[in-house]
Amino acid sequence: MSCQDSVRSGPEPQFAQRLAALPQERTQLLPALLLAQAHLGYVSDWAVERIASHLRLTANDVEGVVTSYPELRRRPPGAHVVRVCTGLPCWTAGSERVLGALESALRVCAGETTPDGRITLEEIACCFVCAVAPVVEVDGRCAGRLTPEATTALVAQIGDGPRLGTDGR
Amino acid sequence: MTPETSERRAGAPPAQALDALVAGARRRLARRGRGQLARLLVGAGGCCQAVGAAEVAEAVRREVAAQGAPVAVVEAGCTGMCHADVQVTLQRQGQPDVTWDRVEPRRSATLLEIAVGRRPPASLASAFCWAAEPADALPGIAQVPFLAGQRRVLLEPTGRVDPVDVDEALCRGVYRGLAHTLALAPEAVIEAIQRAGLSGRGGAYFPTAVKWMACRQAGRPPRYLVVNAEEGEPGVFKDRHLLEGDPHRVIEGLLIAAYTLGAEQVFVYVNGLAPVARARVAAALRQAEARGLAGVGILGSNFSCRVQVREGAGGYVLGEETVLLESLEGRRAMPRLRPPQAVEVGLWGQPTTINNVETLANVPLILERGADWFAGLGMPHGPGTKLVAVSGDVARPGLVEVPLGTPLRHVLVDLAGGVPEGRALQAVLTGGPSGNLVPRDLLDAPLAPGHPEVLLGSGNLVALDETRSLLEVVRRLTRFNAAESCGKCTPCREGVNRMWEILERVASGRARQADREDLSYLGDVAAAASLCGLGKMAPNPVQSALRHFTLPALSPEG
Repeated sequence: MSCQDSVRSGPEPQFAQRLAALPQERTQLLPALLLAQAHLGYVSDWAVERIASHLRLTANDVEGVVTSYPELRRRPPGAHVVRVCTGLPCWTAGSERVLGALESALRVCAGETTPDGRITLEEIACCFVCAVAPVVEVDGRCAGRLTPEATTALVAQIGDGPRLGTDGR
Repeated sequence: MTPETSERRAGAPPAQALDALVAGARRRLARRGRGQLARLLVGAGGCCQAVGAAEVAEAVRREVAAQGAPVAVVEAGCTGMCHADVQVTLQRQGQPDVTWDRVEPRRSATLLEIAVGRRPPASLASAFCWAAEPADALPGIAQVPFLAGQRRVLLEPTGRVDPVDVDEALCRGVYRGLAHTLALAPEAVIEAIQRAGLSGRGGAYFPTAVKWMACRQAGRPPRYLVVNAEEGEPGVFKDRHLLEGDPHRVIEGLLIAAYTLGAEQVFVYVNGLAPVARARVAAALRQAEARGLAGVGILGSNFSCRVQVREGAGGYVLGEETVLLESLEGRRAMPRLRPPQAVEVGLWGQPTTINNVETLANVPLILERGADWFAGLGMPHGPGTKLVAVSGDVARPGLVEVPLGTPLRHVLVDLAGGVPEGRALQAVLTGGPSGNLVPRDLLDAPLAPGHPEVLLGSGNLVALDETRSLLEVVRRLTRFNAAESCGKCTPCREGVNRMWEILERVASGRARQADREDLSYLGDVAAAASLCGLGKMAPNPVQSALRHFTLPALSPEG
């Protein structure tokens, strides 16, 4: 850990510690990026630099890889991420009404974050539990067989606490 | 040395080493009261967890603790009956398993009373038993249409075993095929797979034996095995069900493949949106290592194999095997130019075999039950069963297993119950988001590799009833395919995007006369000139819709 580390507590040092334990091989690039996202919520510029230096790659090289994976984020999302599956099976089960209900309730469009930074609302192509459609994912956890009403209730339950679902990585 | 590893006798043949492991497993299970104790298995696959499996399991556990009842509680996989989730299955000595559909947490007290024998199973509604005929006043499998018409081989244990109990796996015969294999020459394994006629279940149906042979003959070790559990096609959830419900069988299959290939390193690449599957295969792997079933000197032989589980981060294009290799090497998710094929120049330039999860799950069964048994399932040119994920406008969505060659109608209507609420079927999307839209009059076509219209792909059907706008369907699918293009090839990157733009314009009511022809032409070019399957297949939904349906919005007046 270098003295440039200005942040001494919170997720950054935890991430740095886990990163340091990864073998310094290029094959660890995606695992390192997933680690960053699990701890920080997204792949920050700082994380890109740290990963590049640990794996002895250029930041540019790392950047190129980050942007080729749809699940990796380069911008911080809101404190909680709500993703409405709009794949074909969910669409037949009414995902448009579910998304519409959330857009009205949160007063944002898909792809946007509430002005208070609490909730990011997005569409997702598939959650792969298509037989319990329609599905909404809240902080990495799926909920199925939803109605628009049940979905707004689910999202209203999201607390003010830290986000869930970093699955203990 | 732990007691587990001491059960391996150095120098003994693998079969004897396995016998010793099984004997130890039996003792441990007996100590835990297995056989005597009733147990309740809560279906807790990814699909089940989306509809409250954790809450049901917790309620049942709380009830067991409150009553001090001698009942074990297990979180299992999904039986494939996702429409009936959350299911709870009761296992008692000497009696057929009983499963309840759509169980809610408040039923846990009744479930427990049934488990300890104070009430009959029929006292809680929506139950059936896993026997051919009715028993205990409950319907049998023959009375459950979703199950009655299946040929369940790979799905047989899912939902009804503890997926992450290696002792239970050993006692039900998992790893028997591995022990058998370790006494064979690799060529003999390839011959058995060849005779069985196993082909790749990821969608290409390439003969597995030919792939293995080519990889072995490519020489220059090290060789690698990559298990493709990326499964990133919207609508497909078959490999997840296997990994969630029976991960030990998949691990056995990959170990047999690795032995045959002479691969000492295996990467299991699991889709990023499959947390349950990833956790279970990783847990099962640790258990297998602790028993000497993976790692150094497997079952006392001189075969060693290191297995690593890797997590993906989305991207439909990762289903293409060379993209998976790029990803494992830490590079952008883009396909490689072929040839050379991966079996010759794969991971880090070394011979590499990439096999699908379902393919590998079949391998131990072939070695255990014989090539003839496998060849007898399915049809002459496509032996074996196939997992098919069914969703959309059907009464009973879920995952089924049927012999290859089974008519589409059987899966869609007999098993999945057809379109609900008296509406009529309009079309079926077969083969994933870059598959074909198939009209009703092709319902009697077989689900088999190589059919020109009914694309089997990795096993995915989405039913669409008569109220669905097919223009909207193809617009959505094309938007997805365009977004997922990695950008390497111009016909896919630009062409599929232009197709999407045309469909957006048509959907907003501004169709032009040339649209039909432009869509068709752009599709032909992308299909002909793209490097990988994504670009080649991306035009399929639009082109199949143009072939079989009228799409009135595409024909402007005047």
